[in-house]
Amino acid sequence: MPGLRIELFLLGALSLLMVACGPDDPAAYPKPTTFVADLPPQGLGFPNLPWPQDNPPTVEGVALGKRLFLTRASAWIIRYPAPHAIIQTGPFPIRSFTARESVEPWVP
Amino acid sequence: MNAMPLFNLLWANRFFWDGRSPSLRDQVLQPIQDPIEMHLPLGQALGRLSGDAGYRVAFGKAFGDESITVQRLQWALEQYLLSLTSHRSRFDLSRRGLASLTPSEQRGLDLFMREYSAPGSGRPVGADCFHCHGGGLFTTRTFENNGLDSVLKTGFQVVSGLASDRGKFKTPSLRNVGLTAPYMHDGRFATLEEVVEHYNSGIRSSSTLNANLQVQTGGLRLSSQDKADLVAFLHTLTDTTLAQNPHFVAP
Repeated sequence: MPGLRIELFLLGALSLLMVACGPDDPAAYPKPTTFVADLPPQGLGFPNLPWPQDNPPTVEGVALGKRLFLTRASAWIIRYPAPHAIIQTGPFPIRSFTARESVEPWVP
Repeated sequence: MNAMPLFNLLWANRFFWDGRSPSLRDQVLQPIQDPIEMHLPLGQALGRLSGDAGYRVAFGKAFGDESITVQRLQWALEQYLLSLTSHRSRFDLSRRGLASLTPSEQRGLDLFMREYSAPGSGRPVGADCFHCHGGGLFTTRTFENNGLDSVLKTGFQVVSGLASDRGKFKTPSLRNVGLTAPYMHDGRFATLEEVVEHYNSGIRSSSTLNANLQVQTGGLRLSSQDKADLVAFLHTLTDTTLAQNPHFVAP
């Protein structure tokens, strides 16, 4: 019976280890990689402003933000096609109108 | 409303044309919830994200664990949007000695940077753009009434509550202005030529009109060549590396 106890102990230890290393465990994810922002060189007149200190950029964070911002196919966010929604596939909007502001759309 | 392009937001101080959002991380949540945009309560948005294994892993990689919260949603969107920078226009390259402007573009730059000259002053004509669109950002990041209407919409008054801010809207950067038509907060102008003509001869007076525009009685008096040169200069502010960068476009 000592052999069985050892096997049960090992099985239990292995189970604990698997739970501890599961996808919900912070230890399962390595530290994110620092993202080097493409900032303008000196001499172009840009103000010297720092990146928000409480949200330092990481490669993984920027990639997630891009995915959240640009993904339409999976429709995580769009409940229905909004008729005046901005269609944005990059820095420049393709259709560039939405009606939500404190002014009315201009009518010629 | 005319949606603004998204670049150099690191240097932006308020968001939306009327400035009602004080930070980018605040701004990014508003289109998600807005009934006429994406119309999704944040709780539901988080629920959808949490139900997607791919997003759980992506949040884990970005933040160390798979917890998906409003703050992390804000942070991720903020990181991506702040990464969109633009500083490689031909004008920038000329400042760095790596390119040169054509004579027409240089004349346009001179007009851009020269103050308005009253009739009879003896000084050369100036387009007086730099007061609001000066500096490396090509915006002073203020809210101004640029003479579009005599009857004023709310504008920045919605933030300040001051009647003196009525009709004032965010002064946009002129970087990449050749790519961001239509123009003005309501998109009333389709071309840069129309925009230049507005400042040349179309300013409408009102109680909160920008002080520099108030003195331009009779308009700027730009010639056809002046206007063409000004537009030529504005096109030198286009950063093609931004528009074509695969990092910034949908996969």
